[in-house]
Amino acid sequence: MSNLDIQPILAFGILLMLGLFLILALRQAKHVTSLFNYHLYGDDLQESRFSGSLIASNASLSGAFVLILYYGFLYGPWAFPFVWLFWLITQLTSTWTINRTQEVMERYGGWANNRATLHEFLGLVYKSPRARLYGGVLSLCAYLGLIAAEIVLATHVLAYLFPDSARVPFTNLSLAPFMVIVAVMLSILIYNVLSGFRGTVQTDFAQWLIMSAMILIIAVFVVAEWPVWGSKYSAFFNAPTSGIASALFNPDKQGYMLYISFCISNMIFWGLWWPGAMDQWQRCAAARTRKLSLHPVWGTIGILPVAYFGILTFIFLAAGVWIRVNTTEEIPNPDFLRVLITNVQQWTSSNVGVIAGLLFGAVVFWGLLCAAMSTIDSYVMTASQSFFVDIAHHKEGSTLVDLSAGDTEKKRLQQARAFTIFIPLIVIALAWIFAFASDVYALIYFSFSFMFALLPPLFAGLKGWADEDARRACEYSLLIGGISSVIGFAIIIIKLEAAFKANDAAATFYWYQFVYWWPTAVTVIGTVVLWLAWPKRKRAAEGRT
Amino acid sequence: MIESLRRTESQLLAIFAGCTFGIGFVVAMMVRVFHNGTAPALHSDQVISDFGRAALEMNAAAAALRVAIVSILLWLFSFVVLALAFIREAGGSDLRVIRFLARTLYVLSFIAVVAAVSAAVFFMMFHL
Repeated sequence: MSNLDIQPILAFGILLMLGLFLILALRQAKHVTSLFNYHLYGDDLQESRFSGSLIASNASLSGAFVLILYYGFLYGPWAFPFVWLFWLITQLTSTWTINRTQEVMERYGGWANNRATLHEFLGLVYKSPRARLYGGVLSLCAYLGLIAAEIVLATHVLAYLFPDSARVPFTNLSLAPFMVIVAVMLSILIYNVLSGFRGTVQTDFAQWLIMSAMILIIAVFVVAEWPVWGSKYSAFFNAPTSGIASALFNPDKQGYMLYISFCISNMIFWGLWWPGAMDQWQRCAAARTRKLSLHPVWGTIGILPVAYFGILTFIFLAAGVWIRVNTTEEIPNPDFLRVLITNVQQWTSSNVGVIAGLLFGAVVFWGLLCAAMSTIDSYVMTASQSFFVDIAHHKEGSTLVDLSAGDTEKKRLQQARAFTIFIPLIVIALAWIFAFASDVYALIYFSFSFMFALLPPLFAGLKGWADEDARRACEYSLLIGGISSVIGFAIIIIKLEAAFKANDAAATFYWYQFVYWWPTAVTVIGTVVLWLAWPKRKRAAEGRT
Repeated sequence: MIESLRRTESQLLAIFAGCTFGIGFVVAMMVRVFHNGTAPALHSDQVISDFGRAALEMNAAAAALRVAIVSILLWLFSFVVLALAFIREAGGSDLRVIRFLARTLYVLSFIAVVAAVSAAVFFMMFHL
């Protein structure tokens, strides 16, 4: 049975999922009685919902599945220890951030009371509404870019539904899949507008379950196909038979330095993005206490997320290797998602039966779509909070709690809903622009790099060094960090595009190194600016202590 | 009660219009999903000019896709109107032009659904 025959079933499945998510989310609409409940859930978040939201939002197409699939394709199965380490480092830095925030916020009435999120934290510790504004703009850029990347990638997944669709004008995107993902986003928007973050958290849990089924099926596929890719991968990558050091530190046979550069840059990239990620702050602020956000099973560094991210990493790396050994292409592309669904369906059909093939292919398709949906709905709410609370109202109240308390007539709640609507509208335009690029891989790193501009002043704040005297330093650091991110990636993306157009694999991999390192460079530039602009008297006093 | 309904009319109409355009879009796209042979016609943006069964089926599918495109554009527009309605209401007034746009979209959304259902019925007539 070809994939064409299962199209109606896949489409009905999407409708059923959307119906389910709308029911789950809209049940929460009656609890959204204030701006605070709209953006930060309220006071009744459960452990399982926290974990479900944490995993489903972060296991995104752009941030996890595609990156890991590409790593598998480029570096083989022995990249596993390092890629899992990336997750572990980020979970540990996140834990450190939660603990430090709790401690620093004691001076500002306690985190459980003010529920400060990322930009509010900066605004509070530097006593600078402008720092809060700049931080909000950086996060907004980051999340708009990530949602746009998610849309582009989901369009490639949906190409499985419409294999022969016409193109969106001037781009490589298929028209019908693009329209479907835009429609999905507009459906999500209904519950985002009415139920806010509460609706998002509820749907994340259901989406997490569907994604888990998808991961399980791909796990069965890659394990069953081990005899094929396990025997062939040594033709592309170094295996332990050619030495453990080669397999671990030079898997792609391109040289030790390039791979070590990849590992170190991504340890920094993956390891440091959570402290600068507004959605993590939003979730942790919603959790109210560390008891929930640092729960030993469900929490940020709990057993469940650690194991889940490990399993996800192994399976998608293996899937990347499977694709590598079965294709003649040297450079990865997002169409591999569609190829993966097709391979799973064909394998199951020929080994188990046609009905099983249809079911497995459909679940993988729905699971990947759920990964996109869970990320889109969460990131829309994160971008909405940054936009409304930290950009439009950066001078009103030091935190959302203050802003919400002053909204007795619910006028701001109405406005916040309006702001939420504008996010997907901007994202659609941005996705169209993103589609001009041959691949969104670099654009994902570009979007994340805005978060890295937030890190230097945030780190100083978390260490307890920040005060009013340093507010100019914080503002300059954020500003220059954001500008350097745009300029740097503009050059990198143009060069990378030229390499893609020339089909020059060597040049592509050369520019990938810049893609990996530029977020770190943004942090370094921001740190230098912060250091130079930091009050001299204060620096001398810190030097003495 | 009447005052409350009048005050939220734009919001109500815009959100209903959005949902109805959504239904129109889904119906029209389902035609596209069920018909896998329309791609060549849609690529060249042409309508087949003979009256054979296959050609009529293809034309119905092509028409459905166009209805889907119009529906999604108007769906987007109804959300813009909804956002403006939220902002105006928070500001304490319901602007007449927004109410007019919301009412217009509400009417158009029913036309879109009728067009999508018609395309689907024609498609089924020639497809089955």
